[in-house]
Amino acid sequence: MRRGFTLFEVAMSLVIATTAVVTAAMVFPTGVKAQQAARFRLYAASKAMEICERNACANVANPALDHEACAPWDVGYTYRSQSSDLETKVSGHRFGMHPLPVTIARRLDSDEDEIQRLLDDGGYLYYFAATGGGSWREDTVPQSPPDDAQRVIVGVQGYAQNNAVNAFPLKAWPYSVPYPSPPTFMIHGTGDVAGPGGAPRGRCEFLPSAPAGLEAWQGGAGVSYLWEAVSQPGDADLVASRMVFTSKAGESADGLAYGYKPYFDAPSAESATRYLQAALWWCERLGAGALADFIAPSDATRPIEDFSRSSLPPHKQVLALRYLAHAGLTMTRWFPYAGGLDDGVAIPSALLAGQPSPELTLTHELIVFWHATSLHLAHRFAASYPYDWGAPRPLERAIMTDYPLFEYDLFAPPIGGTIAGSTTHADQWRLLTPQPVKNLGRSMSYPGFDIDNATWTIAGGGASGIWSQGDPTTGSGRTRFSLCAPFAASERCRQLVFWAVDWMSYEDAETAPSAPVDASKYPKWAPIQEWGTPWDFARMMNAAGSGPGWSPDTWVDHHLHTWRNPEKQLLYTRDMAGPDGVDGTGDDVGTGSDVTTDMVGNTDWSSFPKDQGAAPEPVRVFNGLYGADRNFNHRLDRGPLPRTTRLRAQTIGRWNYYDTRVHVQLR
Amino acid sequence: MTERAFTLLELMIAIAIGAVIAGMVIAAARMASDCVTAGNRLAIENQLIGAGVLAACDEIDSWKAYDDPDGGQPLRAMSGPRGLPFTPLAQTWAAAGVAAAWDGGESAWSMHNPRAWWRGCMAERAGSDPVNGFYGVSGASVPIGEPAPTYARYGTPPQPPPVLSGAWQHDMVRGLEPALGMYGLIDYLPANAIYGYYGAPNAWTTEGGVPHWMTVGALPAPQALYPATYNDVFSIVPRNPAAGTGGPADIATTVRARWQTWEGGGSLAANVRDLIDRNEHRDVLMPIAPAHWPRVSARIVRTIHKAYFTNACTVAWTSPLTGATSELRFTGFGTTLRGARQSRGLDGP
Repeated sequence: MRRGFTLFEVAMSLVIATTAVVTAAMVFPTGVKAQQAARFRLYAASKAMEICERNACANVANPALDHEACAPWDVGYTYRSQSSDLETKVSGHRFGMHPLPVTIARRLDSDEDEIQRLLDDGGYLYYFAATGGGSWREDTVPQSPPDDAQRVIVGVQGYAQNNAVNAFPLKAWPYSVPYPSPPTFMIHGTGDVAGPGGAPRGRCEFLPSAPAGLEAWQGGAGVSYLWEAVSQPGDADLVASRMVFTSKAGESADGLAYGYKPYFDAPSAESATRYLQAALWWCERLGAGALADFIAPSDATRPIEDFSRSSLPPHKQVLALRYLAHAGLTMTRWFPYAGGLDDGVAIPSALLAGQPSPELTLTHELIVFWHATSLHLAHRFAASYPYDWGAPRPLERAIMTDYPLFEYDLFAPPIGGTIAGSTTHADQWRLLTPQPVKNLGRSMSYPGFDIDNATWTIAGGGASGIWSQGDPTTGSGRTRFSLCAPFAASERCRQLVFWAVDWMSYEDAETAPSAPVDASKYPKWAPIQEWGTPWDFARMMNAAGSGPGWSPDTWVDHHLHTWRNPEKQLLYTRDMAGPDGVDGTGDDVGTGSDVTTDMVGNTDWSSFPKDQGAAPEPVRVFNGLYGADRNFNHRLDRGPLPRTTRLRAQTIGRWNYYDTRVHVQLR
Repeated sequence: MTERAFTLLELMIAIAIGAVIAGMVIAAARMASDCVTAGNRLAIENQLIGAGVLAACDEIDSWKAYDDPDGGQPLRAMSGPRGLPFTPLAQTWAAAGVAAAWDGGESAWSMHNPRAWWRGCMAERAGSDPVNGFYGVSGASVPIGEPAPTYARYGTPPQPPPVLSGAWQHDMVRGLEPALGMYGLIDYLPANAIYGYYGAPNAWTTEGGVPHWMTVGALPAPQALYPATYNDVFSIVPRNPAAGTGGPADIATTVRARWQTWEGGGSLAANVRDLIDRNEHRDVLMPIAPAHWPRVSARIVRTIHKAYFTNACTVAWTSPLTGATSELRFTGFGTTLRGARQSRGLDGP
């Protein structure tokens, strides 16, 4: 019997055929997704190159901040937030990468839950600034058309290392001066210095106290003092170098003023000669005849290039020639070559503080010799003795080893104390160096603070100075210093992981608070006192407004590249949920509203940034509690996705990179 | 057995099922078609954007937009006595009247090499009384092969012996600036260099002989890299600039221009815009591509600002459907000007 298909069979066949067709059709969107992933990989590759380039090449100097204090916790420059790690260097308002709000990051799923594990470990996710980044002031960069690159987010896998400490927190070495030059005189504050009885009291006073024997000059510019003369009060030679700067009344036998300052105040051939006599006097003061080969060289056509020609320690030879060469050169302003320095100008002896200066005949040849010798000694000293701080480094030829290597000793108990202006306790690791620092001296900001003998309490008992290697109680030593140790490539390898996710579609993409900002990102002043009263903590946070016009008394946007909230430029200055602070109650700022005037942006020195100060409101702004214009379109955007929704982040690429332990800048 | 056809009801059901199925298939086919279209469009876009990124990366490495060995090389010309960024040094050096040839060897600028030290006075100021003395007479720098300069107050001292002389450093800086402009000068000198030299005093120098152009800017004194580029931006103009530059003379002006970016007050967006307009290289990819392909361009601007050499790249694409433009901005590692010139053999004698 011949029989056709039943209707049921036909229907089933059609269903099967349809399923096959539809299934085949469903494959096509996969192709689109693949192309979208390819696009994101393209973005990620560009951004990976960019952030590695920024990390290696951008200058992240912060020239307007205190870098030294009387305790290591009173300056933030040595804190973790200022380390040389990629995410801390590049994540800033100028360098194009900002932390993704943690509240949003916590909603993102990813393969093997990698994002959540990264957050659990203390890491952040980062998104890219809409304007790109670089050296430009952010608001001068032309507006960028919208693109998808902000959907790309990145995290850093692999732990950050114990990096070199940026600077010695108690003295921001290197100090640099031109060679040759007169003794270093410091202006300790400006403005109001008139105190009772003419004492150097005013807004800026010495902390913890003025150093004994401070030779200070009080003028319109503030209290000036001589750094070399107070840096090492136990060294009578350095204390006596004050004579090179200026003699005091009654010190000279002829009653005239000697030294650089009288010359600078009233330049003339006579005052220049007395400056030179003072420099010669100090050379003799260092040791009778100790510098004879310099003062009266047997062959002035060749400079002295090392420290073998004198028994004096190298740093004193450097200082002596620095002053001598400068004083000698000033003579060329007053004595002509022909008929003057060609034949020689007689420099008579001067009796200063009961000691005569050497007589000599000053010639052009001798001046040239001093100058060249000064440079040779200064350059050799800087290159040969990176841990001898007895003489400043040459300003005209900065070199890598001007910056000594410091490392926190994480295996010895930290020292602790109280944060200046507060009762809050703080701890900090002690420091290791590859070799001890010689002639450490006092800092320019705190010449009354004896760094060598300062101690703090150790957690668990005892006391210690800032160095760890010299502490016999802990057994810690220089063997822990690892910055110069060989290392395997894997120890320096970290990984950039990129994901693609449309996080901007969240309703709170721009109103979610910033990722938590490390407190040390707050550019607080170092300890200071005013009219006898130390500033309290809030005053150091405010640092503006209530005091006399001591500029700069506001934060300087373009000097604070790695400080403040990394989203600083974008931060909202008021709650977008309206005065009641609750979303959806009718007083919210409307979606799409122009928020140009509600952002921190950039300010000049005449105005007070809205994220600065100890009051609650600027603290909220500083911490980004009101959110930020994260796509920098100057409009308040709210996406369609409720915050209860989870999104899947697609992994789109991984790049390994070399993670340095010291600050470097390539070009 | 009698043959039996579908009943009307069966037929209607079959037609209905068929219609539903056909509808689904058509919808699926349409979706597939859309996907193919979108996928194609994305693929083309991706390839073109990728080509744009590669073009930008290639450009920051090769400098072809500035000097194309296979094409135009207007930046190898002279502009009066001055060179342009790709002018052979042998030409410009002679025009500058400097005796010592450029030496960029590995050890030439090392710290230990005294001839590379800057020997001037950091306090030298334009127009100020030289109370610190005349550093030019003490070996700070006396041009090699030239007679010792005469100073109005001091006279004419003899040249110091070579071992005491900064003549070599003088000749290097003195030769580079007119040869390459500030961008090139900064690119060629070591990062710790001081941009200054002492020559014979005249109306264009301080009394001590330091050229005024080196004592202006943020600090009216000889400057190092960071202060020299703190408020000022130095850029480099491509061979086919997009705007504001009409010919070699104008290019030369732009090469030597500095853009102020004083950040302390006011918006300087116009200044930055001008800098970009004058110095950005714009490369339109596939100018004769099919009309339904997106328009893609790669743009490069090279600057030195705040001690940071930046190769800022922008890849822009415009949708042929909507006309909307999107951009991808990034910075990248590239070859230095010096590296580009050396690969072209422009620094030899």
